[in-house]
Amino acid sequence: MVSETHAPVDGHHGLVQHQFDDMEQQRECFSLGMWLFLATEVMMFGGLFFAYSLYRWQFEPAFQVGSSHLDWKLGTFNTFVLLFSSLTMAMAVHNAGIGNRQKLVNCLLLTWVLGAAFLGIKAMEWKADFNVGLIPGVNWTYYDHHAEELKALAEKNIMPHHVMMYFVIYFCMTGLHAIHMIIGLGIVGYFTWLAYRGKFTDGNDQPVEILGLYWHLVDIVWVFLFPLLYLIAGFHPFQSGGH
Amino acid sequence: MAKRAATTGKAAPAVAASTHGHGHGHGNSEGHGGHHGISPATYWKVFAGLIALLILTLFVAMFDLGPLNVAVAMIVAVAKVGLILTFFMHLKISTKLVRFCSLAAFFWLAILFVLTLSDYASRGWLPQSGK
Repeated sequence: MVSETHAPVDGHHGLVQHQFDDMEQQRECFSLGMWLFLATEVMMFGGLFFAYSLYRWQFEPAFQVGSSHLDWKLGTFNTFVLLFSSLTMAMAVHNAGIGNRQKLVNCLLLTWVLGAAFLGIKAMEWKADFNVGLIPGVNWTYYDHHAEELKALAEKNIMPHHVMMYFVIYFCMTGLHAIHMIIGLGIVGYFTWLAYRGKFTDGNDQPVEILGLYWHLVDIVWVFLFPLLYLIAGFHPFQSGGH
Repeated sequence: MAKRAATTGKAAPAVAASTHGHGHGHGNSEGHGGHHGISPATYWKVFAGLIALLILTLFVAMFDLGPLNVAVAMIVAVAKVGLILTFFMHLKISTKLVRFCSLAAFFWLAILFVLTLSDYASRGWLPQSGK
């Protein structure tokens, strides 16, 4: 009865679920639910950021050595890719809102491609780490082959297992972030197909907005990860980065 | 529709036309244009801002400022996140309840950091046996 009373007001007879008074209340409720979920996500990543802060505080010089093994160029490019994917996602939400099916599909597709590119570059970085033996617990043989660097560390009183701690945290943080990217790519792909079939541009655009919130949060996590992981040793634009 | 167009500024024609197109009513949200209130032009400007801040991060990392490096990097990161939250994540046009809830996440994070770090930082301050 309630929804019937309000249906003429919001013009969405059938789209407002029966427990809500009107479209506006439904939209706010869905947004609020997603933000609560995002709060739990912030807490989950927050634990890792805390572990990072604590160990960096204890082992700052070793963390700088660890960071110098990463390729800041790839990190910068990936940051650009992810920021750009956030722009295309924001455009997707906009186009869902104004009911432009073709542009919505294009924006979602572009977001998917950019997200996949990010993961591809990340996979290349991990592969390089594996090849030189910088993955703790999997292949940690870097210092077996670089005795001179081990000696340099000893002179500066830096323990190799403290450098290892940097990489443990590096793989936990970028790994959890990558899991979120993979889940995001799955949903973006599914939504692209649904959008192609005409869903979301029939007035029910909010699922795209909710997906956008998730995508932007994953972007936010990377915005913090990039300077904390890649740039702590200072970067040197005229030397080649990486290993 | 005319009243809407007058209140939403630059993006008004597109928003008004589209709103007319599929008939979204926004009840009392007229003042800020509801969930379509941020225009693509604004998104592009925000993106340009994010890239400028990324370049700033790199620029600052080129210099050895001691402990200031991480402070500047975090300030720039917070500025970027502020842009993403405000515009891409629509907090600018969200209700007060949603804004409050989004702040709660960072409030809990602050509790985690402040309480736990104050423990670690203050160890050994008191001359107790067992420490």
